[in-house]
Amino acid sequence: MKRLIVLAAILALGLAPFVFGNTRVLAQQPSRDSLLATYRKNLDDYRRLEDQYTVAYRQYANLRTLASQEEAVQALRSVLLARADVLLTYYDLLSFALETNAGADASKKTLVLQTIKTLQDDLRSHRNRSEIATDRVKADEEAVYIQSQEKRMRLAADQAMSLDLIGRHVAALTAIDLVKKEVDQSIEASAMSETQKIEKRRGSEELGRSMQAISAAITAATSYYDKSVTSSSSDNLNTIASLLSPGYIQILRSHEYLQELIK
Amino acid sequence: MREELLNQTEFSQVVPKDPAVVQASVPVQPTQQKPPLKIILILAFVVGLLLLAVASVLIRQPKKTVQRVGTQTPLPTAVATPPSHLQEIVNNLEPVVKNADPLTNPNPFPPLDLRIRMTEPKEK
Repeated sequence: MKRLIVLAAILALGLAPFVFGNTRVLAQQPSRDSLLATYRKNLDDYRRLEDQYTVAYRQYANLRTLASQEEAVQALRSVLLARADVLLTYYDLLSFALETNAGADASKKTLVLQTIKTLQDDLRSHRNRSEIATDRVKADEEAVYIQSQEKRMRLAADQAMSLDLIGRHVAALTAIDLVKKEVDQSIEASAMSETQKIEKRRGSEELGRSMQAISAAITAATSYYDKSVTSSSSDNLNTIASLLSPGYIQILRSHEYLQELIK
Repeated sequence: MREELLNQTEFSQVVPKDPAVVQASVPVQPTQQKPPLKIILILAFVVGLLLLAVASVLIRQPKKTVQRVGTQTPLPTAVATPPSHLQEIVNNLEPVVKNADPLTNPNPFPPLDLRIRMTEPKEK
């Protein structure tokens, strides 16, 4: 009997972290606002520490003493850690934007999220190495490492932002389509005169043409995105934004049409 | 002579009063003691405060007015009609439309210096 009680206690203790761990994860689901607040705080910290490093390095360059060198290394370490924190939170924000973007293509989204996750894992390793980099050579090695990762980081961000933008356009088009269907139904079911109905139907057709233009812009932007994924350029967002611009004008127009149709 | 001089004080020449004369003098009447000025001032201050409080309460009291009931009953005011279902869904489109603006990037790449280094300073 005693053994059974002891066994049950051990089991309960062993399972406790998993049970409570899960509830904690559920309770601490981050929101965009909380992520943004953390990101801004981290960025402020980074700017302050970067200024401090500039001062410390200048002093080291002037004095060239062991003490000033140690101080500069400490300052550099703090900058490296703060910078890694900014980047980690930034990629959290990007992941959150993609995860909550209903319009983004699911398979493309999975690929980008996986890229971001791998990047974040590497950033965490760099952060851990920076934490124990106590001499000038090791701290500088970590600085060089991030320098070598710049292109990769910008590319991942560019892909995520581009996909998010296309997704936002798809979401807008889907929403307009749903509302249009409902408006069309209400026009047909209403007791208005046939002349009025004809007028409204014309408006609805105009709206349909606008939606086709939005769809065409999305198709052009998507095909450009698909090509850009294989390229190494990290400035595709601007091109995609310009391809979507005519579509956005049509989105605004469609909204106005809908407002007119329900009058 | 010296002792005489030593015993002589400035009062040595004061002639003691005759006890009979002392008794005959008119006894001084005890004067009525006035309350000190401080207490009067404090009392005045307190009374002043009380008066002020009473006055302010009286001023604030709303005047009693008699409302005359008109013979005409007021007309019903227009009540704002709630937005229709369609109006509501079209209004809900607004944030989705704004969100699609390609010129606003909600997550731009952070402004970081990714080229910070700690090289050996050059010899002067």
